Amino acid sequence: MYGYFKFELKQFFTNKKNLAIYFLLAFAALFYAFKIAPAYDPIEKVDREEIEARYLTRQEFIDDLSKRNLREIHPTSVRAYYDFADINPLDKARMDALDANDLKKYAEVTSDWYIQMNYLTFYNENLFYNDRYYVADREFANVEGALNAMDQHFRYGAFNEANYELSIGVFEQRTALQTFERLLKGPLPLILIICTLLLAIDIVTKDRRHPSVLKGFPIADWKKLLMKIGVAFIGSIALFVPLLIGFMIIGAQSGFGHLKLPSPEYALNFMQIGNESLANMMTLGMFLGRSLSLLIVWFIVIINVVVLCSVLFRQEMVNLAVGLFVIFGEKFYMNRGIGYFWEVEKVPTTYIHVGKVVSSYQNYFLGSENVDYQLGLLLLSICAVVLLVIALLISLNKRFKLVK
Amino acid sequence: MIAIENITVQFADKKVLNDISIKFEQGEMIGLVAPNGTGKSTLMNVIMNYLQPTSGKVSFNGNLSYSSKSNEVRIHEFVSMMPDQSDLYNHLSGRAHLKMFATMWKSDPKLIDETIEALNMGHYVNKKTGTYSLGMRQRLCFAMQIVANTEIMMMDEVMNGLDPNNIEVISKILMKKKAEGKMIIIASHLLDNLEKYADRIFLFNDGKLVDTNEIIEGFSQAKIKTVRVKNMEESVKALLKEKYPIIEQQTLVTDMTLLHLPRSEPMLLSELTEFLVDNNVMDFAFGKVTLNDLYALYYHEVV
Repeated sequence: MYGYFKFELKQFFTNKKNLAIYFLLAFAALFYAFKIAPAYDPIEKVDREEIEARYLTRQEFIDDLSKRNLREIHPTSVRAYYDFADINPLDKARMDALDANDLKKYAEVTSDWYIQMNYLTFYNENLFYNDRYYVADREFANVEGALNAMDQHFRYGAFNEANYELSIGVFEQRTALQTFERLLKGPLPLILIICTLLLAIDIVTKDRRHPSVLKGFPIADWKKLLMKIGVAFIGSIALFVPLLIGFMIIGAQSGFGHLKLPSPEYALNFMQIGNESLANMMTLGMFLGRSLSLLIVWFIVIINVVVLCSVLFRQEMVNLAVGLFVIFGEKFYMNRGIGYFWEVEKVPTTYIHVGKVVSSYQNYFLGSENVDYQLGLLLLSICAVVLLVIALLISLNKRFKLVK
Repeated sequence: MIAIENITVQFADKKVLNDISIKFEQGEMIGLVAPNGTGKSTLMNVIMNYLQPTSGKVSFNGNLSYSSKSNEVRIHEFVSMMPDQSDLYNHLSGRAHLKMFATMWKSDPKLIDETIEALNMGHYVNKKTGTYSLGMRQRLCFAMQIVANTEIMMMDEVMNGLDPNNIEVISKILMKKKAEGKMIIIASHLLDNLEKYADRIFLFNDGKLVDTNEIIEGFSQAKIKTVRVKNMEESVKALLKEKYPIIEQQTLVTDMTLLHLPRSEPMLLSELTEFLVDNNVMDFAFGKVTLNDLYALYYHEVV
């Protein structure tokens, strides 16, 4: 059986289509590492000049109003006067910390600054978050701004208690590990799952090109299927190798970061400002561990989908169509707040956005408290087992031929 | 031992194999001869369980049959069929193919180099099979089965695309395997070669297997009972018929005339030689009906 496994493995890694996938992914990783990652421009960044500009403008306003009788001034100006008087000392402290290169102090006051700013902005229709949130088609820009502000509040709070080295790169999430975190919350899981689908798509059907070589092997069909699943799984894990190249380059440019860095897990009512119990702080290591475990279960599900379809239909195009349907199935029902009406947490395809599920961003987006990493892991594992059992049962049928 | 019991394979109205029952023993080399599409490969596919027969069963060593998937695996551990050259992996080397078969059947890895040497494949075996000629691919397919080294080996058109030297080399290896006690079943069109080495040769007729000995008595025995005359003139044939009415004449599409002797007596042979020489017939040979002749006779290719 080991011989068959080795034979399949060799075929897999000499398959031109598979090599092309690895090559394209490596190219994309290099392009990202050299071009996109260095140009990363976060909205919430450490910018002393911006802080100073804001500080000076507000201070001038405060100085001006402090010389006047507040009873003669418009109430909104009076309110602004008191708000600015609260916020400006924090901005001053942030600048002083940066000047002194005291990043821990900067983290402490910035955490306070974000909670204070968020409190002022979110409930005040005359105040706004950073301009860059307000772009075309972003219907919930204000909410996104508040969410990010809270995210920053929790992160800086954790930085304040850090026992590892801090840097501006860490604050702006530019390190390799944090870049990986951001990508896992973005399109990377989808890209990797699609790559897995493409890698596995012909793992069974390719045998029809060599029937007389393979048909007589003294190995049971169910064992062959298990070997193929194993090989496709190893192949999907190997997708991380090209990514590792990009990871190393980003690490060399911006530092690798640390597994103890914070990674907030949002709660549904995350934005009830000031209620700090509404977010759990994971370490980045925990976030990556959970995300990768969910992603790996997704790989297995997709491979098993392909194997079952291959056993049933023996057509690569059917494998592709069904695989894509599974991957993009959530598009049919996914909408902001849909979790309030439907129990979307019971549908495995809801868990396709791996990083967002682990960070519980999906809870916030769907308006559901139940989209949980562990439930996703359980549902997907059940799917993987059911698909595998069906495929193996079919292969045990006396009339079934894996290679025709 | 293979016991084929009442095997019938029917596609629509056509019975390709019709209630075939026969036994093949270890140490035998069996030849299957028939025109294309008459059931040679079908029979092999049934023996390998690549094709489910409409009725009947194949059993091995007494009681092992394709009654379950696990039995199929057990049978395939000692029964193999030579792969088709068009099914080779073009991006893999010949050696990789040989290793693959040796690994699958857990045979002695030394067999790989021994077979490469015996088949004179050393100069190309490490190259990708996509670069091989037809003959090279055919030798590789044969080598793959030799390396698998199963107790029962089946080969469909094993000599296709091979030059006479390689046919001889392969024949010798087959004889060696037979001497080791392996059962070898060969379907082939290269009839001379098959005739030389096979213990039993079967023709197919209407889905039935027919032993050549049933068609011509003593076919497999080395007795002079036939004179084969090339391009015999009609006048000589008539003269012969008149003088020796007991000698049966048959002319094949190849312009070969067979003179069947009732017995192989030296006197009769001597007289016949004299008669032929007197009538200016110089191209003749004494012997027995060859498989080529039999093939032409049996499949009605007689003038």
